[in-house]
Order: sequence, then structure tokens, then C-alpha cells
Amino acid sequence: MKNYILIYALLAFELLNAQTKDTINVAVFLYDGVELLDFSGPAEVFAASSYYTNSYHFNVYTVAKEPQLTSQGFLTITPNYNFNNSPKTDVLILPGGNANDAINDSLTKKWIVKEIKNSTDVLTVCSGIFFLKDPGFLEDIKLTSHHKIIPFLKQTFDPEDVVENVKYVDSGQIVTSAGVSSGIEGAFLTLSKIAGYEVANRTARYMEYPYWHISNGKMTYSITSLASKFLANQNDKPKFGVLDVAGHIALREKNLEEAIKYFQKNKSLYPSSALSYFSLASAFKRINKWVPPVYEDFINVLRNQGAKEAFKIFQKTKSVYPNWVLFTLKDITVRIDNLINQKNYSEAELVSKMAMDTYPENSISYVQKIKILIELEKKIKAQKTLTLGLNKFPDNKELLTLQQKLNSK
Amino acid sequence: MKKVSLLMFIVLFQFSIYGQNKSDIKNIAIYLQDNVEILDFTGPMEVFIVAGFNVYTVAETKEHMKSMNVLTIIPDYGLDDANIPTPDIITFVGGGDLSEAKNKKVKEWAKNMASAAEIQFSVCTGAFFLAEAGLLNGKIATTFHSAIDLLSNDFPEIDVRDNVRFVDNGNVITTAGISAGIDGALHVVAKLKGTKYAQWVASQMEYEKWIPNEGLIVENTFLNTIAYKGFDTAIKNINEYSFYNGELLNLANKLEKKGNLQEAQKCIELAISRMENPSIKTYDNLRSVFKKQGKTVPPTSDHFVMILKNKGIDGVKELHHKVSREFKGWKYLDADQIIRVAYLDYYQKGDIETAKETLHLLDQIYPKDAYVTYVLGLYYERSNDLPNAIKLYKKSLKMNPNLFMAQNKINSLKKEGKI
Repeated sequence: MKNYILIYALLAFELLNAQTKDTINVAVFLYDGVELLDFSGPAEVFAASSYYTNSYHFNVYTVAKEPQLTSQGFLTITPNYNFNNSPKTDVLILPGGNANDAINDSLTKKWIVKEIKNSTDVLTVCSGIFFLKDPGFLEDIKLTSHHKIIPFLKQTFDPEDVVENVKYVDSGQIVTSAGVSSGIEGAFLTLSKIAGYEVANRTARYMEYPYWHISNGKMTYSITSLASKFLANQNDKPKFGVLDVAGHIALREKNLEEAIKYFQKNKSLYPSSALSYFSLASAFKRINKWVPPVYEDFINVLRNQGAKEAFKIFQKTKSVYPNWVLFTLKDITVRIDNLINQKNYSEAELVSKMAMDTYPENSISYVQKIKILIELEKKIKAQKTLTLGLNKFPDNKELLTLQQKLNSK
Repeated sequence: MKKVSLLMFIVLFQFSIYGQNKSDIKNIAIYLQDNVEILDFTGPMEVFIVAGFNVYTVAETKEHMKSMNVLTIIPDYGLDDANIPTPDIITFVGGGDLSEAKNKKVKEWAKNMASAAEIQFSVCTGAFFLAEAGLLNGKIATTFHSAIDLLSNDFPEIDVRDNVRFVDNGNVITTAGISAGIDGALHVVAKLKGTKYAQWVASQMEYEKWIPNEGLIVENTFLNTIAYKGFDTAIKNINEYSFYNGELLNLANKLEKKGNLQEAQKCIELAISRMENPSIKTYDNLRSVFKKQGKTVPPTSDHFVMILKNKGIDGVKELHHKVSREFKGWKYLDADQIIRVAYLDYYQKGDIETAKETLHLLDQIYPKDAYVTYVLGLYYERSNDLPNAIKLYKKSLKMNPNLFMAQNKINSLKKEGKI
């Protein structure tokens, strides 16, 4: 059970952390007759992803006109909100299904139009695309849907705008996905445009979904031109994923110079995010520049080669790339927790040193370090760290508990 | 030649032979624990619904419950409900607090239901429910990637495997994490209704990346006996074996590819004889091996539609009269296609009588199809014959008590005071 207790402890940590993250409201719109996988796939992607991004917290909830509804005639759901009390949407998910009544309902139309205006990203799945038709959001954009709906789209819109045999079409704010399970991939793309490419990859790995790749879809609007706009106008800070995905697309097209430009810019916008360095490192590798293992790769070195080897890399990185962030606070905290559980306190101390050095402004680094020092019976050092910690975080409960423990010894 | 083959066909159909297991699998129960992972249960549920099964959710109580703090669900049944339909397949999924698998009440229920069910299926850490109930002992199993060690440490009697999408022990099927549940559920459909049918389900869901049989499948003795010693040897002790119709159809497809057409035909006919309401997709297998053997086959569904368009309903009736005598029991009409044509070409153009007649014809071929009966009821209602419409709605609900459309219809007629 140990593994799981750990995961629960982390989830609690995650909740604390949520306060320091930007909250993104993900509204999953539901109606009677909605297709099950159309909405549950994207809901799973966003709900699972919060664990893998240190910058954003995805607040996923359901909204419907009805107080209770049935999905596909089988699953009974009570929505979290109705049209009158739903929060302001950042990401709107419009699933398909038996949608005729909902599409023609005037209150539903009104709410959808209002929330599209609030949203940065809109994701349609399958026949969910029809929610956008009457309000005119589909004019002059490229789009896709379920293979059985494609012929109808071709009759309704310019056939050249209808894209076949792709999992999704990215038209900027609006991403349309193909049928049912394709919503999972459309959601990965949308997620990556917000939180970064690697966050989507890690979420996919967690979900044991090996099929997603950015090239499964079509990026028809130019994310690159959007990214260039941000490069020119620094006032409007884009979400992490915009420049990151633009960079990864440039990488795929072997346009290294362009990729590095985007990643460098993103690094300057998000200097404390290990993901910025992960992407930059992947570009530097292509031009045979030495780069340290970053992000999950660094954690793997810790796991497989030990703290001493990792510390060497940490030192070398400091001299070659000052200020690079090699790991996320969460990942390093988990690693330290693991080492404490294994009673490997000497390794834990070394890892904790790197964590403190990188994240000096976080109480959890202090708490862990003090715990380790107590175990190693370095009482004076522990006392000193505690004093420093309490100066910074005088009200921190865990530090105060540790103070009691130290005093009683 | 034609007469002989037809005779053989009829003789085989009169065998009332069944293997050990129940051939008509309908009810699938999915157990939901608090904070269950969303895709763990919705993925398989989508697959099973599209494949035409009756799926329902069971939780500890019938109260509202949360999935990943996102979805609020009202389960169909609580553990204390006396009227939970006995499941043919019981499904446990992952997420939430693993200790719920140790909850005495849940464990007791899981044990009872799982032993009553024909197939036990788990997704992700749902394997712990089956393990706690002792159903994985001596079996090969898998689970979520980061729970592999935990499962094998806590349950040394289970042969736990890593890096495999699913493991099929015959009646006990476990899958890897989260999205692997979709692949595992499609495998269950392939087992029960054949890989071709499962591929059709996958295409409806646009899950075309699904690769059939990409898991660890423990070999089936009956199928092996057919493959190595021949159908006639295998059939002698058929009641000792456990196997499913889809597996038979899949073996038939393999035999057909190898050119062993007679054996393939025997496998398909055995599968059909075990089915309560075989579909045209099952008969398409038979059509293919018949054709390859040079035997006559009934006209296709497309041909019937062509006749309908050119010669009208009377032409089709005449053809059906002739064909139905030669190919007794053969499902040569595609129910979905005929329903669509009747709706678009007749009903929508105001010719309700012909729409009705077309459905009557379909009903003769699919007398046990609840949906066909329901649609026929709709046309009776539209032609203002409410007493007959109600009879048909009730009949269709009797055939499939979970056909929610028929249930809704009857409810709303009751509300209007018409029943």
C-alpha cells in the first residue's frame, strides 16, 4: 500500500500547490443523449493533467441545462453547474451525440456563444461541431468531424475547408476533432497548447495511451504566426504552450533556428519552469550541443545512477547554463520522499541540497531537509535550517511541528 | 450439389449443442467506487453500449458519487438493491481508494456476483477487486503500470505481467491502465461476437488504432482441438469445454484464410446455432465460405434494396418468399440499412403503409430483434393504430427490458393517459 499512500500525500501537496498555479476553467458541456466517450475522454485528459503541470491547475467541471441527464441512454449524471451559475470558461468542450434538441435550444445557444467569447480554447468532438454552426463560428476555418458526418460538412461548407482522415483540426481558438475517441487526441493537442507539449506527453503516458502524436492532426491555422505576434509584442504574455508547441512544430520541420528562437523566448517568459529548459535542451541536442538531462530525464538519472552522479551534472549545468531549472519542485520532492521512505538519508541529503538550491522560496524544501538532518542526527545543522525556514515561513505548520520535535529531543 | 449442401446446413442447425458457457451474454455490470478514474469505466462502457450490450452501474450506495472530482454520477444500483440484474460480465475499474477492494461488503458482493457472472473483467487497478475476491489466483493478470509491483507483492498466487495491454485467461480478463480498458473491452467484444464485429465497433468510435489480439491470450483447448484434430473430433466432448461464439468465428476466419472451408463453415454454423439473435455480420462469414465453396448464397441486402427501389415492396416480398424457403433462418437483410431506407424513402415521403410493410418483412427475418419491433411500433403509432403500437412497444421491451427508447415511449404514453 506504500506506493498509494505516497500518491495520496502528493495529491494533498498538489492541492496546496494549486493555489500557486494559474487556474484554467475547463467546462464540459453536457446534454441528454450526449455520447459517453465524446465528453469523458477530454474530461479525463484535463483532469489527469493537472498532476503533470506545475504552472496550471485545470478545474474541470460539467455544465448542462438539465438538472439531471442520461448519457447515451445508460449513464445518469448530475451536472456541476447550470447556465445561470457556471464559472467563466477558459476551455470549452462541446461533445457530440444525440444533439439535435440541444443544438436548436435557444438558451443553450446563448450560453455557448457567451462562453466561446470567454474562452481561449474551444474543443468540439464528433457531432459537437454543430453547436458552432448557427452562431457562425465555422465560417472560413478548416474543420473535421466523424467520418459519417464529413459528407454533410462538405455540402454545408466549402469542401476545401473540410479535412478528412485526421484526428483533429487546429484552427486557432477552435479545435474540431473527428469521432468519439478522437476527442482524446483533440484534448491532448488543446492541453499542449496551454501547458506545453511534454505535459500532454506525460499525461498520455499516465493514461497508457500510446497513440497520440501531434502529427495525428492538422494544424491549419498558423500557431507559428500567433507565436510570432507574441515575439513582437511582449505585453501580451501567451500561455506556456503556445510558444512551446510552435517550437516543437518547427523542430519537427527541422527548422532548428526557429525552434530555438521560440524556446528561448518561452524560457525568458517562464524562467522558473523546468519545461522551458526541457524543450530548449531537445533543440540544442539536435545541434550537438552538450545539454544536461532535464525534467523527467534528470529524475531518471537520480533514480538509476544515484544522487552523486546527478549532483555532478547539476554542478556542470551551473557553470555551462547558469539559472537553468533541471527539475520540477514536485518531481524532486517525490524523489526525496522516496529516499526518506527507503531510509537512504545520505542520498536524500544530497538531493535535498539541489532542491533547496533551485527552489529556495518553498517551504517543502525546508521541511524535507530538516527531516533528513534529524534522521542523520545532525542536530545543529537541523536547528540552523529550521531557523532559516521559520524566518521565511513563520506560520508553516509542518515547520512548527518539527520545531517541537527538535526541542523535545 | 445445392440440395446436399442445404441439407447439411439444416441438419447442423438442429444440433442443440452448447459448450459449458452461456452463449447469450447481455448484462454487463460496472462497479463504481468513490473517486473512480473517468476513462477507466467510460471507455469500456462506450464500447459495450455500441456493441449492443445492456450496461449498468453499481456502487456501494445509490447516492450521488464523484469520479475524479469532475463527474457526478447517480449509479443505477446500490449493493443493497434486491433487483440488481445478475450480470453476465462483471467489470471492476481503477482509481479512487484501493482499500475499497478490501471493504468487507464490497468484497462479499464482488465474490458473489463475480462467481455468478460468466466473465470477470478488470481495467487498471480494478484488478485488485478481482484479486481480493480470490478470482485471479493461479491466473495470469496485469494492471496499471505503477501498480504492477504492488499486485504481485500482495498476491503471490497471481502471475502478474508487465508491458502487456491485456491478459485473457478465458473467463478472466484484466487490462493495463486507463485507456487500455478500451482495447480490453474491444477484445471482449471480439471474443463474444467476433473480431470483424469488434472492428466495426472500433470504427464507429473512430478507434481504428485498435489492433486485435494485441495482448496475452491463454490458449483455448476447444479451439486448439478443432485446429489440430478437426471439428468432428472436438465436437464429441463439446460440453466439457468453455468457449465463446466470437472465438469460433475468429477461428473460422483463420481456417477460411488457410482454405479449410468446410471446417470454417462448421465453426460458423456452430456459432450461429448458439446465438439467440445473430446479425447479418455473423451470416456474412457464412456467405463468404459458401461462395468460396461454389455454393449458392442468398441475394445481398443491397440487392434487396435495389429490388425495393425498382419493383417496389411487392417485388421484394416475392423475392423474400422464394429466398426464405431456400435459406431458412438466414439473415440476409441488413436491419440498419432496411430501417434507414424505409424511413427515408417511405416514411419521410408520407408513405407510412409501405414503411410499415417493409418493417414487417424485416420482422419476419429478425423476430427476436427488439429494435426492429420497436420501429414497427412507431409506424403503427404514426398510422393512428395505437393499440397495436402499444402491443409492439411492450413486446420489444419484453425482448430487451433495457431498450430505453421503448421504455421512454411507454412512460410518455402512460403520462398522456393512453395506456
